[in-house]
Amino acid sequence: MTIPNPTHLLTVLTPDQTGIIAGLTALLDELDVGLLAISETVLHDYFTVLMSVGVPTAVEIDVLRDKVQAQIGADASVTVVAHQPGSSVEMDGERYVLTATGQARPGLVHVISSIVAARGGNFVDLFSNADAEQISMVAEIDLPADVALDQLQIDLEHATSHAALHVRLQHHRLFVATNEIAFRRVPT
Amino acid sequence: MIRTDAIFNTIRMFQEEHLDVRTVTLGVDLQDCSSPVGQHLRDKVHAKIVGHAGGLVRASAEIERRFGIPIVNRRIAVSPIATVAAGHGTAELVRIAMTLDRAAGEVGVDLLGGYSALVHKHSTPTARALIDSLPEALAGTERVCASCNVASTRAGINMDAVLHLGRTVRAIAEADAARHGFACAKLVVFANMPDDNPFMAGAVHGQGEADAVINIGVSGPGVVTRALQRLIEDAGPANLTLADIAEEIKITAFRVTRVGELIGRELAQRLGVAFGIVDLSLAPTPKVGDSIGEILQTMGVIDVGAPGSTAAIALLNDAVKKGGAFASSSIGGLSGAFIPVMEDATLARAAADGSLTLDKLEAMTSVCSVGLDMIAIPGDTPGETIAGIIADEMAIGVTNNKTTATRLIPVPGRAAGEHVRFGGLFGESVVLPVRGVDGSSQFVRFGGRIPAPIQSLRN
Repeated sequence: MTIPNPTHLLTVLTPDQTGIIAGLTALLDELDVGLLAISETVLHDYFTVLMSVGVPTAVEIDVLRDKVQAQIGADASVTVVAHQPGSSVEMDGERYVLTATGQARPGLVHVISSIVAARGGNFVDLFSNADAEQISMVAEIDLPADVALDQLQIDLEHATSHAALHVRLQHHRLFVATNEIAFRRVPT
Repeated sequence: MIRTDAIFNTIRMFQEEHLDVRTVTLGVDLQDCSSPVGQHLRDKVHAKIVGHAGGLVRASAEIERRFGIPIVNRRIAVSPIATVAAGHGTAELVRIAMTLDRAAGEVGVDLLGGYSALVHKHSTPTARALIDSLPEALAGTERVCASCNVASTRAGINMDAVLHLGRTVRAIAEADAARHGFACAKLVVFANMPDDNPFMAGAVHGQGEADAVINIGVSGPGVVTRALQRLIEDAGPANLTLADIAEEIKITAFRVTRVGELIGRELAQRLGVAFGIVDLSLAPTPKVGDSIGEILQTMGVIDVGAPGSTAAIALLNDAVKKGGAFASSSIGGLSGAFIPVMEDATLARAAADGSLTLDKLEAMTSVCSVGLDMIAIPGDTPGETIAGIIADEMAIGVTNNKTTATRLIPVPGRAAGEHVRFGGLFGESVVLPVRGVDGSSQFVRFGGRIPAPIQSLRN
């Protein structure tokens, strides 16, 4: 069996219900579309999934989109975009985990992400949840090797001090080391 | 991707629960510094320490920033000086202590251990001279820490050395009377001294070690306390057994140990030296929320020292070791739970209340790490009585094939029930009463060696 190359990215956004993944993957199997990677979450009662797929040339993309739409329902938002090879962000740097907890204020995610972006940092995973009082944000970011960590940490704290936000930037190996059973699996 | 809850669990250990790397300790072998000429020896010792440790503070600060983990202390352990300075007398040994102090200051570390002698079977003239030099060497330096191994399971207990040290502890306190005998806090008397202990005051760079090595001491009483509190709050005490509590401590110890291993390997790589061991010892500080006593209280021993305290500390000590051993193949040093009375606010309070006595502490040390640690006793306690206390603690270590130790402070001019305060990490406490003063003087004056126990004959 050969693993196909990713040709497209398929996204679905719809009110959550049971059986969405089962129905979607059954459809992909039926069309002989290879499923290479999947990231799914439910956010405020909405189901969202991002799939990296290999679509055979015999399957037309518009047909694939229509069939998915019919499978999930008319309320769903379905997109299929072509995968561009070599489009990943190349960086000579290291991965850090950024965490922020504290009082929820409008614009905090924007403030933090702008500071990181200005230093050449790239968000590779982000979770943020805010209620009436508290915000919790966790992001994995790749930072260039020459970034001044001290200054970045100071800038993040300064920019969010009005919200009494506790922002920390820590190398991601710390979190692997404290959660991975085998230490040899901690990246060097 | 790392799970969000796993990230927040790790963050919480640092933000709310006082987890830190208590010490990064650079071990430096000084055996190649020996010289019959004192000045040459001191020059070589100074050059080697500064050469190896010159980058220690900067490298550890960089790692602190990278991982966002507090590293509280940077320290150095050297080869036992009585071996390095073999053939030299008391005056020269004091000069060596001053050199060690100066070198430690120049590289920015707060303590340097290894002003030490191994006298568990017999003692050399230099070892005896080193013990004689302790009052001047410890009272006259800021950073130098000393230790003596007076007993081992294989050799028994060198009672001549025990008596010598009992009298010397008293002399050290009197030499440092202006600081209430604080210099005694820099002397540990050991049975079965480990070669790779990173914690002060008992750190040495032992035989069989690399030329230079990084050993890590991680702590985290606060993390264990909070983990147990959460467990009890979530499950309810009626739904838990002590096995559940042991399991929670084990899991917590795993995570804490991993922090140590990560930092140790990173630092060793940066300094270009060997990585030695992680010592996961629950080492309290006087801060609220960083206490072994609070762990025992969370486990239901509200009056620390009450019946059940020894069983509780045994459970804690064992679970810590098991979690640490699963986390790392490089566990070493002391690895257990310390009960230094002055350095633990809850233990100090229990001592002041009278629930925690010297006798109960001694019982607890039979099942935990390390011994009668940071205990203030009356300043007029005779050297023979101090030797008796040391001998009892050594007997526990020798018979149980474990490390035990004493760090006793006979506070000059203070009687039982009075208070002494050293401040900082060294804390404060009531002066504990010593029962049976002079009641065993003849026993310790016999001297000689208590033979090794039968369990030493293993081959």
